[in-house]
Amino acid sequence: MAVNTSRLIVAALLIGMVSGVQYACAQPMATASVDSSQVRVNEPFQISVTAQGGRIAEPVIPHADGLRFDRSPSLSSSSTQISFVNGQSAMVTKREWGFRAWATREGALTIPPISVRIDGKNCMTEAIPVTAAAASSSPPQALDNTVQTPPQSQPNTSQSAEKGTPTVEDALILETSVNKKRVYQGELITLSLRIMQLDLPGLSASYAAGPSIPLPDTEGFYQGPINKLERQESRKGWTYDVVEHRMPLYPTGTGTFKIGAWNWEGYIQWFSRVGPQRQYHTVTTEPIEIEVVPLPDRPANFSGGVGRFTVKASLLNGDVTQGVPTQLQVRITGEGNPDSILAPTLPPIPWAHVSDAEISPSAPGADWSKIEKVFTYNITPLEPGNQAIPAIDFCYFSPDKGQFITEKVDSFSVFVRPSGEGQKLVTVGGTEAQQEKQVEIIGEDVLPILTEAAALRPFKANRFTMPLLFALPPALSIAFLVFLHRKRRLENDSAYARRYYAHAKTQKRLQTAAESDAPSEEIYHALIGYLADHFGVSEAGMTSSDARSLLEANISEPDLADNIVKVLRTCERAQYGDGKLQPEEVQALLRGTESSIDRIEALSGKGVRR
Amino acid sequence: MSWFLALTCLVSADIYQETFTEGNAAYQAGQYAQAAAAYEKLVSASVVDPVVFYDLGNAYYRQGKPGLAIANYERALDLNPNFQQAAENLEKALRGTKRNLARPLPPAWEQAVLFWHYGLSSRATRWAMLASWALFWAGLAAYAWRPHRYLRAALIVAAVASLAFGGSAWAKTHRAPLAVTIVEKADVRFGTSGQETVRFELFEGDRVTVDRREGGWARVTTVGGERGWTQESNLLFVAPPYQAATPETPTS
Repeated sequence: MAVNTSRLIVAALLIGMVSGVQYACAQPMATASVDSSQVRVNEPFQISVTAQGGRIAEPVIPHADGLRFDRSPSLSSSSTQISFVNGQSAMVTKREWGFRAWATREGALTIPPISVRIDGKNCMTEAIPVTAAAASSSPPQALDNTVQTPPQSQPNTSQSAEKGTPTVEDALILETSVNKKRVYQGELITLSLRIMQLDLPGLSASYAAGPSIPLPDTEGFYQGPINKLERQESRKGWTYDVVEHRMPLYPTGTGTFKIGAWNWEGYIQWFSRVGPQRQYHTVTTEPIEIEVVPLPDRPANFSGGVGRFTVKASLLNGDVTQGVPTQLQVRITGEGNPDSILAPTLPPIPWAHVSDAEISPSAPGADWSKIEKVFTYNITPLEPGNQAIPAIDFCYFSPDKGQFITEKVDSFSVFVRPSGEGQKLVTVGGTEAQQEKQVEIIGEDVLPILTEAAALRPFKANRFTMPLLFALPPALSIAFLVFLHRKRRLENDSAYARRYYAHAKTQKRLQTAAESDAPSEEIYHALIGYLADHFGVSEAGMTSSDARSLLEANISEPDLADNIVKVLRTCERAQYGDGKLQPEEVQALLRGTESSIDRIEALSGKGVRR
Repeated sequence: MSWFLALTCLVSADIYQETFTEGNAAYQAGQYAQAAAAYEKLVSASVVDPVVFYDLGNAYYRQGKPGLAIANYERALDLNPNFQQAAENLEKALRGTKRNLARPLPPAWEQAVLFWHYGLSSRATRWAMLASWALFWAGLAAYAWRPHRYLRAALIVAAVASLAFGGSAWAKTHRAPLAVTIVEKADVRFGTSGQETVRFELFEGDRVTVDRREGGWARVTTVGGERGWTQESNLLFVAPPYQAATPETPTS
């Protein structure tokens, strides 16, 4: 509890102090600095702007002669400090930005004051002088090839000796090329994109404009899957690590298309005698123009393929049963755009139903430029006998020959056995021709029927069954609980038990009273015993007068009390008088006793006065 | 009297079994229309058995009536959600439909609370509820007789089980009935009149829920939440009372 109270006090104090903070912007301040005052033309350098105060807006970068700025900050940070001096609290916010800038010409340049609005006031930074030297590429900065690397990674001295010191320009080379610049529409062009990095120990190139180098713009071309090759090449006596991307392109239109320039922008890093060196470097390739010639007049059976192709066909089974399908595969391989090749149209096969072709392009093989496309037709024979699948034409355009070429696949002979009784063809609706299209074979597709079912009988919903079944458990349970309660009361509550058993006990005694030697005594004790049990009093010494008092106190009917007392007095007289009652008198006494007891029981059921 | 009743039941059972066997024989002979008629006779006689619905679905599937096939597979699955063959054939039949429209989803609360009850049939849920209910009351009586801590734990378990199964049975009984489009194309309109603007179309085999029925029109909702009115004759209800697709039922 004490801990909680102290925490609350501390929290309240903190809230109070924070809420009482005044923005301490008596000294709003803005400063600017550069990472280097000696820069090269077209090489980026960083301008850092710092502002402190209360509410700080974004800085405004002015225009400057000979300088170019990237106005969106490359980095930005913010911090807030709360201080308490002499009981006064103050909050100071500090913000920092970093902007990239480039010198566009040589000479002495000035970054003008940068304006930052702090607490509604414009604060200006100091102007910063910068000296810009000529761009590093003229002449390129030499890489010191006597790099400080471990002995095992020393550069090849023979190379060094042969060609001298490499420059930054030599460190990274970008090349784009195509295998042809004049093509037919849809013809394959292979665009080769090569990044060559000088293989020198400690030399590295890191791309700075994004996570990966964007590919050149290839608008107007359909692009195939790119193939990547890595190898080493020698150039100018230096060894280069080459990463080549080969991109298949297919011109989608005709005319002159351009493959855009490919750009690399980043830092070249290497080790020299004086330590690690780093230089910003950009490389751009020239765009490539492609002239696309339209295809000559296309024949009707032109498949859409442009390139070099071969076509083969195979039949899964030439000996088939009527109604059992077989498969015809047409396999097209070669060089060209596989996505432009349509399924060959099969000649009419009147004796069979032919499904639409299923297309399954195969996985690329070892030779990336080779494609394979397989068309599979399900042929379901409808008529028995010797049949034939006619020859299939495949027409494509050959750019090498400048003309359309039609390849023919040999025809196939098929022997169709007649189907048995159990294999009938099922056709559904429509005309005969349509029926052939909708042929369905028993035993295929859906799982078969089940012939074993449980005992089949009509389901008669009985709306009373569920409610009854629902009500039965609580009813039985409640009945059991009531029984249990009574049993326990009889065991534990003696007054209740006496009253409960009084009637039965008295009945039993009265039944034997008539045959006893002293029936009046038996009847007297039975009645007195009943009254004692029923009203929960002691039987011992109870007289007819006591019985009257008891009855008057508990029974609302005076006649009933009188009758009972009368019975008791008659019994007393018989006991203490001559002691002998006539059988008729005994019977009368018994009837009177039983009727009185029944009446008391009945009154008890309606609520007896206790 | 009881002998007479028993004999009547026995004879009736033989008749249904005979009809079922006739249907099977017709199916195996490729006479799918006759097979379907035999199975439909059983459905009309209120014989409720997942196998009959499954076989009926197959007979309709073979006749090229995917809507009726799907409805009967759904009925078989409703009676026995673990009926693998019916589930497989239903999937195949749905693949042949125009849109392969998914079954409308139950309400979100049911998906969240009663996620466990989709593998149980309505009947199984009801019996489980009754069993747990009876156990609860028996446990209560036993606990009153001789209290024991294990008995108290069992009592709590039985109470929770009867509540869960009771909720499940209630949800299964009170959910909007599923129906399947049995005509090639059915217009779904803004109101219960042929003059109303068509809102969208249902295609054969599309499954919808029906939340209202008025004068031979049913208000249907698709899995995507599209709602509108279509004629009841375009649909076959999956839930009981099982309506037999008589020859009068339009199928195209």
